[in-house]
Amino acid sequence: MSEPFVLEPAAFLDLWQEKLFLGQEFLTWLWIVSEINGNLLNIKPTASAGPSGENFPSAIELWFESRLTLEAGEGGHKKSVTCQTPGTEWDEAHTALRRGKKLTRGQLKIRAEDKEWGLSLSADTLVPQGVKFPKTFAAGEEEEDTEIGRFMERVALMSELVAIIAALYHQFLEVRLSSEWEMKELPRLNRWLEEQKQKINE
Amino acid sequence: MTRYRVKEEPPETLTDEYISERLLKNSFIDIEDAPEEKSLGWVEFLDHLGTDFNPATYRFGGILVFTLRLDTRRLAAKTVARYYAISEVQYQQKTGRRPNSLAKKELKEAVKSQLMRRALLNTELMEAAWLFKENELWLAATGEKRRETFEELWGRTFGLSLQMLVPATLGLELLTGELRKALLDSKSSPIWLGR
Repeated sequence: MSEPFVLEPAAFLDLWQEKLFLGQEFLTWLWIVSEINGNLLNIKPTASAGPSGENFPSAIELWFESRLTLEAGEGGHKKSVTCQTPGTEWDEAHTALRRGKKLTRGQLKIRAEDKEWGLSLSADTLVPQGVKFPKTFAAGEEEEDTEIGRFMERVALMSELVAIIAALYHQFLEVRLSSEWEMKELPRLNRWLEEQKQKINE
Repeated sequence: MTRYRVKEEPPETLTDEYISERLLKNSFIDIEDAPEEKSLGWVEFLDHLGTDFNPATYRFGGILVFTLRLDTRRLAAKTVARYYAISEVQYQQKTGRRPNSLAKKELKEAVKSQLMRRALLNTELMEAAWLFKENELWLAATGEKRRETFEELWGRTFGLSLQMLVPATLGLELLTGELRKALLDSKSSPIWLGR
């Protein structure tokens, strides 16, 4: 992993505010790309995956399942829409995208090999919240029966989840910060959005 | 949860002895039977009443875990005013005169102190896991006020600074060279979807 980027507190707050769009564009990209790819995404570990890099999954399933919040504008001019569940409500989310809104929060599931997490992701931090952890014991096996054992297991599972999100974010940034973003990726996302519009009209 | 990067490399003096001593020095003090409005300090991860801090209570493999405990009491202004009015009447009955400004001040302090002892405590707990090798810290809390409370106690205890991991700083850690520069120069996508 490259060196931590250390800032004075005031400079940190400015940078966080100034680059809020990165989290929003990442979440939006992640949602659309997961839909385009039938919920299957290839990933590779970042340097920060550490020891778990050896067992890092090469592919995951990811889907946004509820409570998408999309926003545009700032402060008093901010406009947001929240769509609770897929189906016709997702059509409202697609319309919001067409009107320039970006995804700021969503409830999603991530499945890697035999593990599945439920989580909420918010664009301003990209830290998993309200996590539902995978069950890691097979039928007939005993669950960790000490409080510390369960805690350590959760830390390990959270580390895996955080590493997967970092890998996805890294993938996004490599595209977003290249000329490929405007030349290829945005047109690809727009084509998908157009297809959704045509589905409604059918 | 909030993720932090510990800004500095922990010093070599960060032994178990040192950590225990620092946690003890900034440990939580029980105010159940005292009139204080607030008490803030560390308690053990597995025992929120414990402040022993031997290493077995906080070191689990490569992770150090402890809990911030914040107890607060609040008195409604109207409640204080009501009991003060009663105590002022009692003062007059006892002394035959109205209290002067000094006596008023003392009466108010006494009323507040008595009510504080009777007021129920509100307890807030925030677990912190220091992933030592990764130089990362996870706080089981979000929100600006909670983060500020935690960061202040943490800084006072260990003298190490924290920086939140947010999309900008996470991105800068993930990237190197030209891409890092590109992130710093980046602006919100001028061309977006549907346009």
